[in-house]
Amino acid sequence: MNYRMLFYILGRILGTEAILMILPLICAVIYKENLLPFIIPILILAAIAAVLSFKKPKETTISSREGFMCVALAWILLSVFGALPFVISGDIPDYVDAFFETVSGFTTTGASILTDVESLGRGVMFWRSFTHWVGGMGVLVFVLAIMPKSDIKGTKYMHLMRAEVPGPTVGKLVPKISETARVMYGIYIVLTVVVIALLLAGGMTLFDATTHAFGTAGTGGFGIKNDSLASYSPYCQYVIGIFMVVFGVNFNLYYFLLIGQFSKAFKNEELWCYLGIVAVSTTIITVNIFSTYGTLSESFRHSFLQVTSIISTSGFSTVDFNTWPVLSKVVLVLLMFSGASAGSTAGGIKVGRILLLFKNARREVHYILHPRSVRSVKIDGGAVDSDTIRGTTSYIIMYIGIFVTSLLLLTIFDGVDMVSGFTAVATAFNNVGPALEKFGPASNFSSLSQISKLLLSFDMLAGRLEIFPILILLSPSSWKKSS
Amino acid sequence: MNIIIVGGGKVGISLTSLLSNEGHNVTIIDTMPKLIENIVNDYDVIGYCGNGAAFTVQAEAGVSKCDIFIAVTGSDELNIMSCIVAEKLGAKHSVARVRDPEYSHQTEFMRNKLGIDMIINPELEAANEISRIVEFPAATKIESFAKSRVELCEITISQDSVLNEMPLFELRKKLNVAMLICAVQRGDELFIPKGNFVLKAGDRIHFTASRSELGKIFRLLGMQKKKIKSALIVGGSRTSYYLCQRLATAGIKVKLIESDPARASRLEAELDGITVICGDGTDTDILNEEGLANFDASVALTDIDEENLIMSMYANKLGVEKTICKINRTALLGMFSSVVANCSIISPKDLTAGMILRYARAVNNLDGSRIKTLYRIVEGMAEALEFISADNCSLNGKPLKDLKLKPNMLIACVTHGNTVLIPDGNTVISAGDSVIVITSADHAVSDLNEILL
Repeated sequence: MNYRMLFYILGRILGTEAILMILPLICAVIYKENLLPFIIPILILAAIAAVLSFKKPKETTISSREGFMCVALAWILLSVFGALPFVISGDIPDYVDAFFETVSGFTTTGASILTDVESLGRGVMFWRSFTHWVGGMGVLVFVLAIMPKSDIKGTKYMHLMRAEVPGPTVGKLVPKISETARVMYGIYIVLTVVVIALLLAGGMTLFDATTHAFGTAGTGGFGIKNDSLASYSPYCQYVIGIFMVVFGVNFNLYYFLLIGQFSKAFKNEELWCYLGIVAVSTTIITVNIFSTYGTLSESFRHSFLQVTSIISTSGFSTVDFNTWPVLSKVVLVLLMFSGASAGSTAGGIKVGRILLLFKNARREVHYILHPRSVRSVKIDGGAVDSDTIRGTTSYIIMYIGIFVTSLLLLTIFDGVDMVSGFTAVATAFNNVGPALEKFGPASNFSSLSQISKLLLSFDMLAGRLEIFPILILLSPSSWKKSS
Repeated sequence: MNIIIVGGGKVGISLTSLLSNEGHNVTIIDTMPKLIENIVNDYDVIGYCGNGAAFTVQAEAGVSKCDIFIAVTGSDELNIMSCIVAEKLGAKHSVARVRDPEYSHQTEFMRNKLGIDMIINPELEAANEISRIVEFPAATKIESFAKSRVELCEITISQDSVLNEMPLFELRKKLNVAMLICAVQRGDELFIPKGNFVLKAGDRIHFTASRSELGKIFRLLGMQKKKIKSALIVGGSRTSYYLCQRLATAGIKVKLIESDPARASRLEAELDGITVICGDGTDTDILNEEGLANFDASVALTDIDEENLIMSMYANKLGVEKTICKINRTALLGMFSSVVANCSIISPKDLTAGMILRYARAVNNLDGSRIKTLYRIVEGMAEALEFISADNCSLNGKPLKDLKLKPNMLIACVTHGNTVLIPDGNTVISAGDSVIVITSADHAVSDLNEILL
């Protein structure tokens, strides 16, 4: 274990958080609010960062163990300090509540404990949405993007990137990791600016447009109104809906479009599968809720918005879908699990993994019918290597394990009903946001006990980091020197 | 620079690590997915899985925009083919490793007609290196600079050497020769020494001296330069073939031991003026029978590193003056360097990587400052670079004692016209001089001005 390098990188990450907090500080200055909620955390973070990364250690090599632990620790610490503005400003006086809210922000879940969002100060509200934007693409990717070249040299930062970027495999776009990070953030920033511009054109104020763009880009789903998107015009709703789909697509594909390799982008099986799921689910729900709303345009709009919001794991809502027919609700719950594409800002299991597992299952059936046949699992025309399949299968096993354990614990701690408990865990673990029944879009998570809030915070982190970093952090053997 | 490397073998990985550390955009292509995954995890590079000679793979890896294309797979034909495809796709420079002796006769053809800019034969380079060592047996390694007028030698200080316990500032006074000790390896550590550095027995030192002074220096150091007249080579590899040719023409009596009868008789037929013995070269009986102890030099060139090391240790024990040992896996050296202190180690892999790195740097410096030659010394921990000082170089016209160099930098030699100056504080560099700089390898210096604080 190279603890010194681990602390050095953590220092750099916390320093970056201090820099990021300057934005909500500026927002608070503009709205002439109390500045202390941001100034105090910025000073604390800067001090810790200065101590931890005062001197670069001589030995800079890190293995995948340090990489994974570093990512897990970084996300926990970011949330620990990111919760301070809520507490100091007095908007969320209880620290556990504030921690839940921050984890929910950074992991782009969007589940809230606030009963009255509109009462928040502007600066704090901006910070709350901004955590979505930062967490969506990843904090470490951001740190890598802004790190000077000389710091990257010789250290195996690929292990960090692998731990943070979602999906079964992580590829670089260009040879240098810092440039790959810059390309991804470049695309991310441009798309976010497009959303802001389109929302401004739809009549939103700059503050509303920016916060909603952050929620959309990070596929987070924190609204700034108590009724989420319901009070905005259909145009704004459609803009957000379409861009939720856009941010659920693997960012590598945008890079391929950018450098003119169109065929590579459009031949991606995961993309078509993802778009197919969106189309089919929207159709089913539109038909199913037609009788409730009467007009095709309205039922299509609500159906499309809810489908895109759930599959991209954002969690914005235009209506209380808890009142919808059971079929629609079941479809939505299934979408929570599927999530969007690997390499996007969305959560969930990811369409790519599900595609891979289905193809693998089909191969098993084929083996039973033709025991001597030779058959590989092919995605995008190429055979997937057995390590990736093995990794994906064990990921699913872990996923089910954590899901079941969380559900049991939640039932023991709070004794909520089956549907509420099941969907609450699903929504937290898949980073969606709203659940059903007790935790539906019209209500929130404030009624939970403190320990259940911590449990769901853990689920959100495990879901965002795709389980392994958190598990490695908790496993005692990874802290031992000789194992 | 954009550099594409085909083949993730030992040389490929070594080049990947060196070039990516110098800040180039490196892309590596190999057919094995697992290998690519490991390389991409370990180094800041991008990997592609596929046949490096295939048009589609090269196009995907972006060969058309690359500055240097390097093919170092295990197959000569694949390397040549890859380079031809790359050349047609628009790669600016291409380097191929071609080791089959049959192709070595068509180097010129491949360069001029096929457009491959650099063709490197590791076995041939190893043979050249060994024959150079045999010429100057006192040094464990010799590299040449400034058109062979300056030599960089490596020697090990023995217990009874005059250099033992000597501080460097007294060196010139006591010995009255122009030599400059520029790098010292003590255990695993590298020192770029200053005047108050005290040498100890067991240190491996690198020094620069003019070629004409070399004989005198070895005599003063008590390392009598006795000409090597006979050599025993164990192992009939391709390196042995090239080496025998060179040694035989230099008038050295060569005996070659090879265990495979077919190989032995083929070598015997191809080479003139050498004795070929068919037998196991690691069998002490055979070695004694052939009189290993009576030879001036032993060269271990079998394909197995361990055998080479053990055979060299045995030769050392018998008192053979010069033992040379070929090692492919340089990782072994860390464990063995204390045992084989008096042995010259030759690693074809390091030689190849070093030469390609030198070429890459030369390409990189086509416009800016010019690195003329580059050697990696002290197991790759330090580099010796030769520059030509430009007209506007900030080192010009000032005595060296007034220049503030960065830590771990040293000016080891200045060649002014035809005169070699082993520098002291009063030496002045003028434009057009060739300057040799020693740095530790973690500074990547590409311009002479960069050595100043």
